[in-house]
Amino acid sequence: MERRTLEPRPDRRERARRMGFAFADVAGEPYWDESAYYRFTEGEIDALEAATAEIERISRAAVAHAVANDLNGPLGIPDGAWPIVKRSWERAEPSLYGRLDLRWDGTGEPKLLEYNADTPTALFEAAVVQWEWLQCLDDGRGPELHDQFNGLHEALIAAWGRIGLPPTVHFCCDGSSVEDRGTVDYLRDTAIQAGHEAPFLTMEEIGWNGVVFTDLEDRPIEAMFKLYPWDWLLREAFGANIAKARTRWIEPAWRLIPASKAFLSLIWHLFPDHPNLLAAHLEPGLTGGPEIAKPIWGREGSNISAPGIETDGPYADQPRVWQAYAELPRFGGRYPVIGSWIIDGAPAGIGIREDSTPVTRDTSRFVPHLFD
Amino acid sequence: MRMAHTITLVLLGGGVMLGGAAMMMPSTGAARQRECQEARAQARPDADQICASARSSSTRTGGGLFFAGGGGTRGPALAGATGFRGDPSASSRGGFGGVGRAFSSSGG
Repeated sequence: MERRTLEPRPDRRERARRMGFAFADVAGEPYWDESAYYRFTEGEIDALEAATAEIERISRAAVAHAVANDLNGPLGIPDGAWPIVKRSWERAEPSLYGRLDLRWDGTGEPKLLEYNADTPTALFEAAVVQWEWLQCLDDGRGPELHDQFNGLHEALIAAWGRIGLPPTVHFCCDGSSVEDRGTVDYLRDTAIQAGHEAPFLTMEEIGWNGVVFTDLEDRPIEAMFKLYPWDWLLREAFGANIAKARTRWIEPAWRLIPASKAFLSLIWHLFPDHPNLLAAHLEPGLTGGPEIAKPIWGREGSNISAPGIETDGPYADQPRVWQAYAELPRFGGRYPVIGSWIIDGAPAGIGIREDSTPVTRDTSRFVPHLFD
Repeated sequence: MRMAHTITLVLLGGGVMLGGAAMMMPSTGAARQRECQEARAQARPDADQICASARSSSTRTGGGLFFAGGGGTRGPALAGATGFRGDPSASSRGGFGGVGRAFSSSGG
């Protein structure tokens, strides 16, 4: 694993525009950053794929354990929401996608930092934008000599056809975030290619007629992809209707379990000393070394504390999990996190975000990768 | 790892094929008009950019929108949640989205 620099393509912005990538730049700074890329060997990619599959395997086992033993309290899931979560698991409602954030420098075992199981983003960048970059790569060797751990696009289209959804799947998110909307539109794109109708509406536009959730034309919503966290849905006025409605949700409600960062403690408890895990507990001082404290429903690196690090944000009043602190590796002055994607339960590719600090935030840049 | 030689998008970019001999085939004007109309109807924050692209081939950078506003906004407390809030029958719409309005992004 190494970081290499190169000259960005002069037409990268036009290319981003033409593929509908609306957030390639943020406030005049590149979010999509092709001034560098990460190069892996095939063996390193095999190691990432194997670790991803293994973490997914033990995660499913941990979810089953949580459901069987009603561990919603330690996970931070309210009693009122737990029947919805349990029912979703017991019905074996399929997951479409998730992203494991891994710490790795190419040596030893990749370590799970957290599981973005409910509303992962940075998907379009990983599936399409970095692949298009690879097709254009001119490093004197020709693109045909390189490969990329990236079967995301095909895997998503195939998954839509496998997870047993009705012909129309509604898609929703908060309408004000360009990144969220771009991610949802990419998923709509793949659902349409799988043969679904895929209308969009904002969260506020979802209706309730006393029996079912409805769209803006008062049609029943039978299946809904929501880029909107379950821990928010279940706190809102319409959350009480979820148990009554027959709507299929993607991601399903059981994904609330691995999405809770308290899950890191549960999975460590069930699989102690697992080579792909970092020690984690619901109390400080138990890992035997430096720790990072994370709010259990926190996002984008907000409100974390670690040696030499304190970040602010809106989650300060939440319960926290304390995880053994493993600082991100540094390559060329940048700290990368490897986002390893799982589509329909199987590893399907990676995307890398890097920052100039050891904390990955909402401003951290997405950089492409290849292997050869 | 990558099996396909091309990636096709049918919605984003107004419909575009990436890779292979075509590398990047432009979308049709009609497709861009549909994308513009949908963006306007849904009051998307990037609607102006999309529609500008539909009218001409001038560059649309997409910069400056993502992460605008919302930074540091304090949302409703999530810790210790006891479950649902508010009256689900109070209105036929608008029962979702309240927490999201306090944050700049739902994703992670």
